[in-house]
Amino acid sequence: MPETLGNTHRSFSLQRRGAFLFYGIILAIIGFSDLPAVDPGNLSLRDHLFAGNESLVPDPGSEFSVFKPHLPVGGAVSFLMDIPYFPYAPAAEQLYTAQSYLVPLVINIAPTEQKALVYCSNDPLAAGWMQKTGYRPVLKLADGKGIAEKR
Amino acid sequence: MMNLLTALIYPVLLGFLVLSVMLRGISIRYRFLFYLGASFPTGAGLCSLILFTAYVVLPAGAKQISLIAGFFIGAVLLGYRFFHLQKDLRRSGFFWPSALNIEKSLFLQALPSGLALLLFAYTLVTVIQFYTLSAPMDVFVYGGGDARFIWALKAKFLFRAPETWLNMFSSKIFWSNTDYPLLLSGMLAWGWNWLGRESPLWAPLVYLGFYLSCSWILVWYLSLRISPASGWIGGTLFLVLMPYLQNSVRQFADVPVTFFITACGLTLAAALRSNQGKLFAVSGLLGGLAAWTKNDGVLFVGWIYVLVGAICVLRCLGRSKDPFASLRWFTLGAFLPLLAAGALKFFPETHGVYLGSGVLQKYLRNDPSPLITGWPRIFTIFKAFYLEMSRPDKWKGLWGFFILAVIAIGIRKEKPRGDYPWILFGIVILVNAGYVAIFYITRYNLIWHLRSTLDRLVLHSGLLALAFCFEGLGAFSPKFARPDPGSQEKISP
Repeated sequence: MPETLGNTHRSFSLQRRGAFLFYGIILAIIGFSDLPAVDPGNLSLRDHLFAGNESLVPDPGSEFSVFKPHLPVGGAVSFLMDIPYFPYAPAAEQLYTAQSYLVPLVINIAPTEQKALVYCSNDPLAAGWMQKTGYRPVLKLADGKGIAEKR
Repeated sequence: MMNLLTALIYPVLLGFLVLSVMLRGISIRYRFLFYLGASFPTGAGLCSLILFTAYVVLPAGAKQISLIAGFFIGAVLLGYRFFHLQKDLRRSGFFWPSALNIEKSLFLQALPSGLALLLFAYTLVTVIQFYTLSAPMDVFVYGGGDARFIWALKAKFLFRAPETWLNMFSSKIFWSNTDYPLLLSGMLAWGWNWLGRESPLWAPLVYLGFYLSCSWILVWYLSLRISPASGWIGGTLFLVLMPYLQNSVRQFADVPVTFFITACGLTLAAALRSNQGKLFAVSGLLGGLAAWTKNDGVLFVGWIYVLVGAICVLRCLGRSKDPFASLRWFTLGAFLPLLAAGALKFFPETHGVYLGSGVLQKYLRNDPSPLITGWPRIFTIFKAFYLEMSRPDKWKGLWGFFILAVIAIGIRKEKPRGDYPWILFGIVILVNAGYVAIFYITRYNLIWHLRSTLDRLVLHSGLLALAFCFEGLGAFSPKFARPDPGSQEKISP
């Protein structure tokens, strides 16, 4: 019986030593941890934002604001861009950004809606896609960008 | 800024009231810390559930109805608390309700506790400073891709066009994951409805709330289980784990779902040890809210049911009295959020990446052989997990400590009955096993899927692993502190 108690005592002692070592390592990890650098310019931006100047950070989709007056508020429009939609392609972000900005309008990646938002890099590309998908331009807003309707 | 803070205070109050009603009359140590950690996320979940119900019932007036209903529910709960507060105060003689009765041992009982608290406070201030400096950057104030194109997108449908909010489920925008649950989108819309505008600062505040709640809930559990000093040190270790901070800044849903997974797991462990039904209900509510945050949470709740069900069966075999009571209490707590998450699956045109997508049927009907012979695929997945978890810049050795804690608890001679020392380990393993299975059957390119999601999925069980490490390696005595009903507080209003 005393031997058992001795074993238990040794076990406790080992556990205590282990715990001390554990906390020592954890404190060292905490001590050596560092935060990534932040641009000091953010300080003034933060202060302005906290002061209520929220317009300093416009919605990332504000490039689509020129389309807004020419599109219906609700319903759906198609979206024509340089390449057909492919989820892994970086170009898909344009579509996502447009959708996010133009809610509650629904943007369809399939060229099946009566109206289409054309968002290509240049006019020849836009003309090619409109030709291929059966649209005709009704409004030009910039090079390769505008509104189209089904023929 | 003041308006933003008022919008933030309401969910905190609502969550506090609901939790204090649910936990009334039971003993739970360091209750103040628990409320500090769980009130905001619970309130955010409830606000989004109220909003969702209002949009389902009467979309045209949903904005006003959800705010009025929120106030009404808050007022009823407040009335209930005051009514019972008088009774409880008469019975206990406490001047303050125990929710406000902060135990001094948390701060000043011993020098280590005080020093650890100082360390935690310093780190907390530094991290908040970093967060407020990172979040205003023009990209991050709106969050990363998922934040902008999933959660905020759905919130915009709710805020801008209540009458046509169902368009968010349109198959034309399938890429926005139309079957995703709505806790975060609902909370964003709820704040915008309150403020009357789409404030770009609201989302960063919400995510900061979830992030800080993660640290408080860890401090609560480790204080309860080991000691306040362990709690503060554990909370500090969480604060220096960069993936959680960076994902919060980018407004990904993984930190909120991590909170609910962690809080559900920790309260479940406390409930199993103390066998208090109401704690199971709170655990159920937090688990249900995990399912209402992200589809990964649905998988998590499934695992919890497997785990609690197995424990109930064992208790039944051991001829315990009412062995399935814990399962009933858990289900009671989880019912409303699970109902909402389930209802979403029946909306027209919603379709999941896995559930309802036919991916499982493809394997089972056409060619089940890859399920048995896909060892190279399994190897790739495990290797990816190993590479992610062994990154010292991200995890600071946490998963190494996790393995050491398994060994330490395994060789420990004294294992008190009813202590459930493996419960957190079990949840961590099950959660990650679920993700291994998901990667195995994924319909995406496996490498692309692993690269784009694994680092975030590992976050979900990271805090439970952290708590398990402290249980295994940070306890000075094999006899853990137990949430002994009645020993700490006679009445717990």
